[in-house]
Amino acid sequence: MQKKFCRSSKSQAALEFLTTYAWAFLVILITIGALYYFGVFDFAKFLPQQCLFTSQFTCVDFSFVGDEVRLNLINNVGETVNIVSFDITNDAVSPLTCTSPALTYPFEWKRGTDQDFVFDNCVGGVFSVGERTEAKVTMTYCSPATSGCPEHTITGKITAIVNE
Amino acid sequence: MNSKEDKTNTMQLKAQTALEYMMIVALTLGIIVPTTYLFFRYSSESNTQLIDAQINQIGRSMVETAETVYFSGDGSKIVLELNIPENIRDMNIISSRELAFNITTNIGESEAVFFSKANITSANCQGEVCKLGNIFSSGLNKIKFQSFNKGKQVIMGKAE
Repeated sequence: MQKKFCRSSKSQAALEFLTTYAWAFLVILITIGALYYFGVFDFAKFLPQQCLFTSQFTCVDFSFVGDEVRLNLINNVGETVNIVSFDITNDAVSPLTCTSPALTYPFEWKRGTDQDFVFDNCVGGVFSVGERTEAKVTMTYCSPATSGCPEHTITGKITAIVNE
Repeated sequence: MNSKEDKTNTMQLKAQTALEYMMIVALTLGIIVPTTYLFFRYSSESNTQLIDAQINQIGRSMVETAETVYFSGDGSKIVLELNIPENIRDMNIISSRELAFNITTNIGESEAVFFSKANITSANCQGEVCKLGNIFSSGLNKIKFQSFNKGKQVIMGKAE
């Protein structure tokens, strides 16, 4: 009889231990989930905001404001070039789409000068105020001094936080 | 009774050690994981800038050498030793004045174009495009710039 009582007491202790353990486990999981939800594990936010372009078209300034992507580039190619097209996108599930800069294409861009480009009406691609977003900019240009003005494409990347 | 107390004390000590051990492991992981992530992101971005600088240097030196040979006149020749990064997929001469590199970086596909004052060409031309893909590979390459067509053109080729 005493043996049976001892056994029952042991199993109760084990069950209580497991219950407590499960509760602790649940609390830890909820805490981790909440931390993740509030972006504590988003280490990318510690990386600097930057604009990566080839040095032939140096990126001087950039910003994501409202529904606009603004950038300032310098033509370092050493020649006047004609911009044929300007596109923007990113790798999000629903990629970023914007209206291309309001320029008259082909746009003549003098050598050594800087130029502001504004993409507006940006939607998709996690482009919302306060979010850190990446944007891939593709520019097609050609040199009018070359016969036939053969087109070339360059790709740049902007990583920044969208401001109001 | 004493032995039971001893056992409980030992168990408590073991539990404390285990907990402290787990806390140290968690803290270490909490430092190592974000640091590694940030390190790799930083290094991949600086790698892109490094490759861009390297390609710029290669392009400029090739155009400058071609111009030197062109303006030196008929019979001149220069052999250039270049370290080509593996990001350069292809190299072409377009319309005898544009030296175009097709590059792959972690941003994506891109082109780097260098404009020459000299009339440049290669031995493998189709229409307006002269291929240079056969004269280079990634790594150290020797490229020959030779005055051609009575000094009217500069031909690029692989140096023997």
